[in-house]
This record gives sequence, structure tokens and C-alpha cells, in this order.
Amino acid sequence: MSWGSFVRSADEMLTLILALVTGALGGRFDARETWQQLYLVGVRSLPIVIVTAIFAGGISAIQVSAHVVRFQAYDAVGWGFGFVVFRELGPLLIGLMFSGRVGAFNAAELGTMKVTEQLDALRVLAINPLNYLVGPRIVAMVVMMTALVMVGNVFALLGGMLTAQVLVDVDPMVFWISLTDYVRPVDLFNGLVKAGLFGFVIGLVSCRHGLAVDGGAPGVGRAVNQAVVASALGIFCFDYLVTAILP
Amino acid sequence: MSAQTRVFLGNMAFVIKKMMGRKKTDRASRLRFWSALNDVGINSVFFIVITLGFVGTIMMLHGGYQAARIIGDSNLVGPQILPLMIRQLGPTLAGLMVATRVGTGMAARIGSMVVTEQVDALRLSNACPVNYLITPSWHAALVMVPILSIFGITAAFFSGMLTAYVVFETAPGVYADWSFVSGLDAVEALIKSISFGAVIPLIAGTCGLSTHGGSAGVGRATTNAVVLSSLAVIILDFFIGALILGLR
Amino acid sequence: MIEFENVSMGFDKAVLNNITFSLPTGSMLGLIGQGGVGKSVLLKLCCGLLEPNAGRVSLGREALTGQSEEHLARMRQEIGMAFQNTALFDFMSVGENIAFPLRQKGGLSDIEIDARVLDCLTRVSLPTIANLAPSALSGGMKKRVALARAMIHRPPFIFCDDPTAGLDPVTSSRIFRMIDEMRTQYGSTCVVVSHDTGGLFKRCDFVGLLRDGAMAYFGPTQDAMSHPTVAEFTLGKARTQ
Repeated sequence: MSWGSFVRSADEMLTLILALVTGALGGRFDARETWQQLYLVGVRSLPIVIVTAIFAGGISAIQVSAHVVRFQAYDAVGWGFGFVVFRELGPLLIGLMFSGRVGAFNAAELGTMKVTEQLDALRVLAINPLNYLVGPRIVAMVVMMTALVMVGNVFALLGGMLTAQVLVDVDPMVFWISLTDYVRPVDLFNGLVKAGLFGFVIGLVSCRHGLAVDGGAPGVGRAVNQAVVASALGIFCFDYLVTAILP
Repeated sequence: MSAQTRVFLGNMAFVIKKMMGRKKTDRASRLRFWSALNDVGINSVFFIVITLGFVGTIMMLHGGYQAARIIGDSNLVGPQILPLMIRQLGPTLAGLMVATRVGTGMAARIGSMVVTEQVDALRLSNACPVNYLITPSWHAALVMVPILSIFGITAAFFSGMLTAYVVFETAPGVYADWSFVSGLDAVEALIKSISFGAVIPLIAGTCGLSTHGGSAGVGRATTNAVVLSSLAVIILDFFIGALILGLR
Repeated sequence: MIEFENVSMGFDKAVLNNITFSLPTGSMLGLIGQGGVGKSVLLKLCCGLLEPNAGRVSLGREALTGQSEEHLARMRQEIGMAFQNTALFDFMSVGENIAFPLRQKGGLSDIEIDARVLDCLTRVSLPTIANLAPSALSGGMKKRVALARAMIHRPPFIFCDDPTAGLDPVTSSRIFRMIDEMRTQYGSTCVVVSHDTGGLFKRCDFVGLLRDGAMAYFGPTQDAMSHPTVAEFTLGKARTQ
């Protein structure tokens, strides 16, 4: 990406944010469409989030166990695990999958609407595509991403406990006690803040790239590619900011 | 099993069969391999260095704050997170980033070639679409994903070192303590990155070739490519990690 | 000779039902019919990109149906196809696009291939564009390049899927003339799908009308206009336009 296109896309993004804030403050988002999007986003991503969460839990348990086995500190498994999963790996992996499932789908859908002139059709009907399409989608992604990480945490915990018991023979009760002893509510809260911000980044970036599609089917493919790449960069960037600001 | 899944698995079997088959190497196929190396490798380096750079900083911040809270000393964090960077976060996140950038790129390119009938035109000229469009990227990914992982790990290592120095005032010499890193960590990283390199182009290419139905179809194919190949990375990470843990 | 024997084809629902016809060597068939009736499917059956669900397709003396991959590969060297959306490879220059079938076939030196490409481009009256990218061309130019790519290896069988779609009448009649010239020169058997019945009927020897998955008419062009079904189709079309 050259500097010119970077500045241009940053400029477009800011314009989009401003338009959305005015739309949201004026209560102009389409309510029916918002409920619809909440439902669609949730249904579309729940299975993939559950699978990801179980494996993310398993992966974290394995990696924490590798340390624990070396130091024979079996009662620290739950602590290390809870911290890694709730604060970091859970929101991160679920965010990346969510970006692939929902963000990419969203960019493709808006892009297809753009190339088939459906957006122009909306404008002709005096419907503002930002308030009708973009706003509800971003709201839905922020809300659903937070909710999905809550659900994901539960499944990650199950995956982690199971893996720890099967592979390193840590009793689930020991696991649970060391988790509840050391992991604070603020760790969970921190993860949820990240989740909401990731949802916002994914929504904004995928809508922006979807609306900017040009040039038929190849254009749609390119837009999806750019949307997931830019979302990933945004996710890591916000991950860093939240970690640095909220210790 | 739905009809779609069956078609997808059938296509994947076809792609694997074609990739394993004998094929001629000429100047054109070497050129395609070089351009795939460029696409998978060179064009991803920047992206992976940036993202993994963030990861190094994030890990150091987490580790440092936790150690300061519980042990009261953040000097021990470096040696603890280095093995984790090498055997898990480096290869896996590099793999996920390749799935994101290269996987969607392949599916988008091949998918739009399918809907604009370019793949049919290839077949009519007796150019096998698999050997033409997927095999070069597959070879390139086998070579490049391990190399990209090394770049990513290096980026995470240095950004972690910088964070340790700036935020926790840990001397670089104290941070870069390799005593907990074993040969097994390097083996785990290598096995992971090679297997990620093998599955990502396979899944993304199959998604691309299974495209049908105009620009909406291309969008669907790219979405499937990133979801399925990222999921494959996560699942492989779990099983390879479990296997190596058994060896410890 | 192109022969269809009781060919049926469908995906989720039937598209073509029990199609039988035989097109003599060196003649040109104009295939007409409403959108979505299966004209493109029929062309893809002709060049072996699709396998029929039932029946047999043969080109020349050889059956195309039920052949091994290697055999199909050999038969495809005798086929040229101009696709509906041109299907030009967007990662190659125009010249490389046209040269592609020859390079895949092998046996010619680079100099000979370059000469053939230039010759083909001259025939479609675009001699200077070999180094451009396909994306830089207009719709009509792309159609002509696709035609050049279909004919570069002088195939005995040529299939053109709607070569005049969305073009102005001048370019359209020029394209029909080019197809006609080339197939006369190479003695190729040719199937052309088009909605421009006026331009098509001036050039083709036979007319086929597809309706409801069946060949509603197949016969010489001179008899076609007096046939009620064909007349209804062409006139009906003229009225709605």
C-alpha cells in the first residue's frame, strides 16, 4: 500500500466515522435492519466461534502446560491459562475468525450490491445507505463480537480443562481453583473491551472496502482480500493499545 | 454431510491428485513459481513483521504486568516468553496472516477466473488449472511460510526487547536469555509452519475452483477460503502442539 | 461433422432434453433461442467442458463423450472457442493470450508463434495491440481478440458464444464477416450463438432454434425464415425491441 492510498483510505474512514456518529446521534439507523443484522451476524458466526474457542482453549492449555511441566507448578495451570485465554488469545483468535466469517462476508455482500447497482437503487428511493446498511452492520458486529467472546470464554474453558486433564493429568478442580484464585474480573472485562473494539474495527473496515468496490467479480474478490488484511492490522493495533492502556 | 460439503471434498481430492501427478517443468512453470514466491513471500513480509511486532510487545506487556503484580519482578519474563514466541505464537500467527492475505488472494483470483470462464479457457488449451493456478503457490508456501515465521519471530523478539527496555527497564541482555529455549521448540515451529504452508494454498485454491455464481459467488469463495484455512491452522496447531507436548 | 445423439443435460433441473442433430463438415450453424434456454451449455458440451448426463456427442469421427483425460486433451487441440465474456487471461498481454493455445500445443518456435499472432491480429484488424493488457481494451476489441485466440491454431471446429453481445451493428457485422472468412479459409465446422438473427442468418448455412430444452427447428437457413416457429421467434424479438 502506497502512502497516497493510505492517506486516502484513512480520509474515507474518518468521513465514514463522522457520518455514522451523526447518524447514530440522530437515531437514524434503521431499527428493523439492525435487529436483522444482529440475528444474521450471530447465527452466521456462532458455530465457527465455538469451534475456534474450544481449540484456542486447548492450544493455550498445551502451551501453558509445557511451562508448567518444566517447573512442576501444576497449580499454576489455571492461572496461566485463564490469563492468556480471557485477556489475549480468546479475543484475538475469535476476532480473526470473526473477521474472516462476518467481515469478509460483509465486504463481499456490500461489494456485490455496489457492482450490481443496488446501492444506487437505494439512493434513488431516498434511503441513505450509511444509515440503512452500514450503521446497523457496525452496531451488530460490536454487540455480537462482545457476546460471542463471552460465549467463547466458556467453551475455551471447557476445551482447556479437558486438554489439561487428558494431556498433563491436571484435575479439573485444581485447574478451576487456581483459575479463580488468580484471575480477576478485570481480566475478563479487559478481554470484552478488546472484543467490542475488534468488532468495531472489523465492521468499519469491511464496510469501507465493500463500498469502495470497483470492477465486477474480480473487484469483489480484491475488496474481500483487502478487508481481511486491513482488519487483521486493525485488530493487532487495538490489541496493543488496550494492553498498553488498561494494564 | 451436505451436498456442498461433498462437492468441496471431491474437488479437494481432485486438486490433491493433480498436484501429486507428474508435470513438466519448463520456463513458464518456473516463472509462475517465482511469481508465486514473490506473492506469498515478499509481499507478505511487511504485513507479518508489523502484526508479529505488535504481538511481541503485547506479550511483553502482559507478562511484565503479571510478573510485577504476582512476583514483583519483571526481569524473568523475557526468558519465559521466548519459547512461547518460537514454538507457538510466531508460527501460528504467521500462518493465520498467510491464510488471511495469501489465502483470500488466491481464492479471489481463481474464483474470478472461474466466473469469467478463464478457467474453462485454460482447460480448452490443455493447461491444467490446478497445475497452472494452485501448484506454484503450494510450492511457494511450503518454502515461504517457514521463512516468514522466522521473520515474524524475529520481529516479535525485537519488539518485545524494546518494550522490556522502555516500559520495564529490563536490560536487553537480561531479556534475551535463551536458557529455556530447547531444540524441540525449533522443531515444533518448523513442523507447524511447513504444515500450515501445505494446507493453506490447498484449501484456498479448492475454494477458488469451487466458485459458482457471479460476483456474489466470488465473495462466498473468498470468505470460505479465509475461514476454512484459518480454522485448519488453529486445529493443526492444537494437534501438533499436543504431539510435541507428549515428547517432552 | 458435429453429431449430437439423444443428448440430455441438466444440473439441478433438466436444461437440454434429447437433442439430436448432425452438422456437416465445413458448414456453419447459427444457434438461436431465448436467454437461459441452454445455448451456452450446448456449446460447452460441444467442446467437452461438460459431460452430458445421457447421449453422445461426437466431433468428426471420434466420440467426445466418455473419453479419458489424455484423449480429450488431444481432441481439444482441434477445438477453438470464443467465450461469452471473452475469458481473456488478465495476467497476460493480448499477444500472450493469443499465443497461449499454440504454446500449450508445442512444436513451434517463438518466431513462428509471433508471426502467427501478428497474422491473426491483422485478420481481426487490430495489428498494433499485441503488447497491451486485456483490461485496456474496449468490449468490441476484446471480442475480436477472443476470436483471434480461438482461431490461432487453425482448429477444424470453432465455437463462438455470443460474439456480438452488446456491440454496435457495425462491429457486429464485422465480427460475423471475420468468423465467416476464417472458417472458409480453414474449412472449419462452426457453431455460433447469437441474438443478432439478421446478421447471423446472412452468414450461416444452418439454423438451430432451442426452445424449452429441445431443438424446435434444425435446418438450412433458406428454409428457416418460412418456418413458423423461427419466424415467430425472430419477429417476436423484433416487435419487443
